[in-house]
Amino acid sequence: MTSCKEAIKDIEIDGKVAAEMEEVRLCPISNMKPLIVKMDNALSTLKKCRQLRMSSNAIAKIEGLAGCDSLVILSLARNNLKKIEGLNEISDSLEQLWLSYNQIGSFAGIEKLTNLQVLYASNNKIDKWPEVERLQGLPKLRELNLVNNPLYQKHDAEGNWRIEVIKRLEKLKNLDGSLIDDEERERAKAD
Amino acid sequence: AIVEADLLAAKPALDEAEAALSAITAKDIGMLKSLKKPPELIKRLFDCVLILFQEPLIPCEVEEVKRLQLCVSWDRASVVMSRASFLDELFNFNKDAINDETIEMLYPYDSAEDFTYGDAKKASGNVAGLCTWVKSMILYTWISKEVKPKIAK
Repeated sequence: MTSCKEAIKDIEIDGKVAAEMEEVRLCPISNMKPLIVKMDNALSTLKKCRQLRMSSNAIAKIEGLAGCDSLVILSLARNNLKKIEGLNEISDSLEQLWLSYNQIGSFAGIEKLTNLQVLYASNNKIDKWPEVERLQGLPKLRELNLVNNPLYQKHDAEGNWRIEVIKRLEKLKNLDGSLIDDEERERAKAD
Repeated sequence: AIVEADLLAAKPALDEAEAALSAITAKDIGMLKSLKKPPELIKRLFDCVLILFQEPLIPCEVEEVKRLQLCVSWDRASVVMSRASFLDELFNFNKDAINDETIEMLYPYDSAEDFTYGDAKKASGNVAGLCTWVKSMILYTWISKEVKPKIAK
């Protein structure tokens, strides 16, 4: 496995300093190095980082983000995450959370991300409406992707997926990559 | 005028992608499915298709196949390419629904040295057109991300 410290060192090429970078991508497999399995305290040195990209690793838990005070976009797609946790320290700045292709079955804890605008969580394990309803606690949420969660598969097959989501999340602008139009909104209201 | 120039920049890439897809036939796909040992590069190429289609993938693990790389979801790819509609799905793919996260997940594949049309062509003939298609989807999303906000203004 590659530690965060090693992965950070590997991006410090041509005299660049990770602590000064606004975009940090820690994807060791793209350099043919083993995956990151743990978010460790080396991440706390990324003070200026606005976009932290750690997708395509094998991380089981969100942690180690204290000190990442500038973080706006956190990308953890394709890892082994089960829970929304470890985000308290960055809840003021975080606007986008990318979590597709994990094993998340509950959005418990997401309510704290009061500035969240974009949530990508396709191919997870969301299977109940109360989990979608938790997102009502996010006043700024405008874009959501839940493609290929069990709940999506069930209701997409029944043909009522979009309407059922729009009914619950009235302020949403974009669902699964497509803008929500007036007609859908009307149908959700009438339903 | 700047916006138009940017959009025009995406046009050749999209034309090229369409031409590359047109070169792939159902027979090519059938041939690929029948291979006992498909080329590694082609398997990685199909992982990219699965990612763009938002189809399930196996969790990230690495394996050594000449190079250290992500394990591929070939079983899943076989299911997807067996769909009678597979080539139509590629042609009619809604490229405007691609988001930045999807592009980010393509990075470990696209950044590999051998992820080129030339290498894929050597490995598998016409199916290499998928490489051109994947790359043009990445370019299109990048350009439209830069261009769309300008149009909105």
